[in-house]
Amino acid sequence: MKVKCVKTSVSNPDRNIINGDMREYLKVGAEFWVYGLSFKGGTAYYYIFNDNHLFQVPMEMFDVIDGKVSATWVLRNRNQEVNLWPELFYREGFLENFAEREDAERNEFVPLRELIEC
Amino acid sequence: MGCYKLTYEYGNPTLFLESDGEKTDTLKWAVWRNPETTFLGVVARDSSGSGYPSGDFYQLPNEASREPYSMLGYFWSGGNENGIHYDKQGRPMYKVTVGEGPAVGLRAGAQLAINGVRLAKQLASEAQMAEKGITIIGSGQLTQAERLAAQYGGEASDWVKQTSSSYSLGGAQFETHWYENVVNFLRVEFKTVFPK
Repeated sequence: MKVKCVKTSVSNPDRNIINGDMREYLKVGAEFWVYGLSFKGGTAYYYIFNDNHLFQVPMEMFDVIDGKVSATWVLRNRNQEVNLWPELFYREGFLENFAEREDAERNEFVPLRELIEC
Repeated sequence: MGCYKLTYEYGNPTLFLESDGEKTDTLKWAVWRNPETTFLGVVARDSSGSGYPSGDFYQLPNEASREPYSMLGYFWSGGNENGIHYDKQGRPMYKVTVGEGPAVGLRAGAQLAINGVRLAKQLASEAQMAEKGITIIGSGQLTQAERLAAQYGGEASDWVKQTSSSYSLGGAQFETHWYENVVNFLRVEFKTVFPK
């Protein structure tokens, strides 16, 4: 799945939308591979990677330019959110260690990224 | 003018109370401070126990009057006497010792160059800390959420981990991470991360 940024912020009066204001970090027209989907608190998110970090962004900021769903994604409902993403992302501590740039998690992401982007 | 060394001792059982939970842990900081600049850098850190953030490097305050813990949001100082700093309840928190710094062997030009790089890095770090930030770990996935809520207040679900953008200077890339309470926007435990 691939998406294209069409706007960099969304209406977020209660500030409960994660990364609802990305004006400092995203550019309209930029394209991203999607590594997972997440649904939480009435908002749907894409998980994208900016070459530094994996993070979630509201779907309404993007248009879908390739809607093919990755075969690596697994659906689960936990902690009051529904996720559709690779099994690896469900592993305890994976996303947090990845965010901390731990070598093991970064290395594990490389082949997964190739699978998703093929 | 050369540097001098400030050593922060926290949780020394012979000096500090042992009945205050996390205050029984030990933590020792040593920083160099160059009076010609406002830069404070950690050169040694030795800690044990739980309840403290971990990481490679902590951004320190640039006001000479502030101490690392104020910056980290742990305590508000109730003043100090003879190098012992107290919390608002008058309990001893940590001790600051002023020691000798490194030999002043650098020529003025070299020292200025070093100061310039440090200042640039400091300014970059401060700019990163002022960013809106990208949430990289949301509530529900943050393993430290319960601790953060217990330590700083709010609900566990209020806490997320955020990052600044990455900044490159002199071949070094770094970014700042912190935890943020999304309800009251309190940011704590700033940490500079150097991508490998």
